Amino acid sequence: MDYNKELDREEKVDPEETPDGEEITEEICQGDRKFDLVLDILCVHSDKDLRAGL
Amino acid sequence: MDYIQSFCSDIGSKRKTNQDSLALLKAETAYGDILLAVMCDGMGGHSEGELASKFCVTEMADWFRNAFPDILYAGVGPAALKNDWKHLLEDVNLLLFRYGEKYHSQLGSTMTACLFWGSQYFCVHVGDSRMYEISDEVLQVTRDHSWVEQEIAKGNLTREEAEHDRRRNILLECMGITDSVSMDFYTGEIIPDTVYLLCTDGFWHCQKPGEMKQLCRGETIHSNKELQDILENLVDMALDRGEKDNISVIGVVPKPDKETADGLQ
Repeated sequence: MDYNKELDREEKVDPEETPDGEEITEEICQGDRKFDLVLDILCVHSDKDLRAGL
Repeated sequence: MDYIQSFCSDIGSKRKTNQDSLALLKAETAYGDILLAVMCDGMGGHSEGELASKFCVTEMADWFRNAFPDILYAGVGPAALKNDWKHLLEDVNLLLFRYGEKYHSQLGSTMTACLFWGSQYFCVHVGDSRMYEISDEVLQVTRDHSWVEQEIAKGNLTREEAEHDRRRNILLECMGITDSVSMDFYTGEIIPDTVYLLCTDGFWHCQKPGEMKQLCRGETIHSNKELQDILENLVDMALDRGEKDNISVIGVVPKPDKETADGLQ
């Protein structure tokens, strides 16, 4: 869900404050990059972390 | 496209651990719902089979959460997806291999993953887990990376002989066993009311296509609970037939928008 947090922050950017002055509409920020996880199931049977063991 | 989805995983009648891992993720996007199903069958002693399959599904799930949105909204299409998956699986394979080297053990996992995106599905496959497409016919989408499958292709073994051959568990390709991995990609059109199954060998060893077709009738499935009941029934049949291995299956039934009755959420 971190990705959505990034989007939330992006949506609050004031179009007039963008570095290059390009007008970013709310439609581009909100509608076009919608990615809401509505199902996130992992069925696993180990409590080990492989990356931590490397 | 809406999706009905469910899964079932059983330790089986003889094993002390369940080395199968699976993931099921779905996102609402500007292009409609997109679903990722991942099935992995781990192998290795001292709990390392569970770890190997867990690592494969969690890495693929992380990719869906964090990397896929950029592919989706970059407008680059399926070619980028294939390239991304190739690099992802190569990286996952290498980390598994290095872990095995570090701890002087061999651990590995199969991986069959399918992304249901727009009007098409995209499947990446290593090992002998399988993807089936069930409508009027039972179509095996993936081809096993196994010794018996190779011998069938060469004409040295019939499919019936392969079912009972003691070498049927020998894999020719697997995640984590060597420092490189080859994978197959499959794509196809998503057909509403078709039942797509991803399963480990413990599931498909004991299934008969006719029975799968009779039970998996997508047009009669209208909820996750109904699909769940069917998957549990199929797993129970495998148990009744004496399957000793872990038994896992994911089911996905695409439906035209707004036809699903409930959510597994």
